[in-house]
Amino acid sequence: MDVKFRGSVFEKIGELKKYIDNYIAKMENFELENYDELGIKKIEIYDKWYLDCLKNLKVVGVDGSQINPLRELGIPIGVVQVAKVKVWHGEGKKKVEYYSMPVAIDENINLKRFDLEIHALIDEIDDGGLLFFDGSFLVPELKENENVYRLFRLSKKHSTMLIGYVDKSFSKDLAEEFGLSTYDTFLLKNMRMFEYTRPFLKNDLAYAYIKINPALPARIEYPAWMTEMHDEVVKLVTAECQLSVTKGYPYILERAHKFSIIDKRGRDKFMKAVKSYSISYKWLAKMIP
Amino acid sequence: MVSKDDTMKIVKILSHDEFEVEGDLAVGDVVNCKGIMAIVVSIHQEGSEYSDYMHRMETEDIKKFLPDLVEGRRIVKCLALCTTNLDDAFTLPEIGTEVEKIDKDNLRNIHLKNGELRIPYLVKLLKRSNIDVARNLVLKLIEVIPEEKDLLEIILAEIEYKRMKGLEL
Repeated sequence: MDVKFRGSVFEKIGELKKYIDNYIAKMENFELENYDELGIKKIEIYDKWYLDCLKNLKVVGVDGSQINPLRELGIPIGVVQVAKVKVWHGEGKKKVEYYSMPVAIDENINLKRFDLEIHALIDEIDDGGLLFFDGSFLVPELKENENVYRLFRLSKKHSTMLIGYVDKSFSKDLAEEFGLSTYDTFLLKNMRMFEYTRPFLKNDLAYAYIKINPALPARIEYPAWMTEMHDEVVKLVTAECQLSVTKGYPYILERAHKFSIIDKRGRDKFMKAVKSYSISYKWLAKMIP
Repeated sequence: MVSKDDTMKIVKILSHDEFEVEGDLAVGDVVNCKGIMAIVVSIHQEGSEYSDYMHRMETEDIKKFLPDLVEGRRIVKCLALCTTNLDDAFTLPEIGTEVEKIDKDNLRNIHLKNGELRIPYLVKLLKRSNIDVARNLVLKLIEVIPEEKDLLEIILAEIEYKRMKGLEL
């Protein structure tokens, strides 16, 4: 996007809306010439199929949350907390583990959180089961991430299934493969419930799309060695989604998210523990009406 | 006697004679709480995450497949009746005090003072609780003090009569 308006957002809201509508319409306008190339298949479902599918499977979900450094309050340190939830479906067993780390104001807290989440998965990778990560392994800021490569290598070594689940993907990998300049999910907007694409490779990573809920398809990513078990992987991911409150997002990530949240009590304790070095008078000035 | 793992404790004081206990008790159960005799008048569940998932999964499946969900706490509301010596109770033990279910032998012993049946809290119980709770307790007393069955059945008949009339004693 390379457009500039002279005037405030309030003044230009009509023009902004028109521009955005045109942009979305343009992105949605792409159609694949050969739909067969997606290798679309459909999951066979029956009553409570997802329980049969997940029975005796250990599933792990990792997600994190953070308290950003508060420059305005003179607190130069933030903190990241990651929760790892393990559930043995059908066996009634569970375990929740936590990781946390301080992050300085001059560090990228999002990347630190990403690293801690990957670290939590690496800790679990030698114990089998199905591991879920909330998001893409392809972080734009990180072209080369040794920890991700290590995680993928260990996943193959221990035959532990690993999934990156992207609920709302704006990736263009697939579209670009077909020479189109749009978002993959826009290109796949006509997929029907429980349909999924074949896996596509991007170096050591495989990705595919599944229509799990009425919104646009979700993207899954996994290490390339798992492509031979693609149908099974897709079925397991979809089954895990059927357990969640909305039936459209993996249950284990829904729970990992819940456990990872730093609640008010935790935030208050952190704020008290980390002393302010000097408050911002610019911020104070903004506070005065 | 309950085992240490199943220890029941007061979790909330509601008023001078009402309190809440976390534990596996039923309406009509009589408990001893540091010398105070109380009866369970209602039950509710607190903080359960099951409700969001129950519309499409059986409780057994939830326990097996989603074991990290919080089942919640079973909370019972108790009404203090009197002391275990059948004297008036003017105060309650504090939060965290252990609570024990009174077994049949003790229920009998408490209500027989010098070999004579005494239920000094009956009017309070009828006024303050659901009439079914009072009926339940009288039925229990008939079971544990069979020699006073005739007298207790008169009380029970009165309760039944008042219940039918929709009035309290």
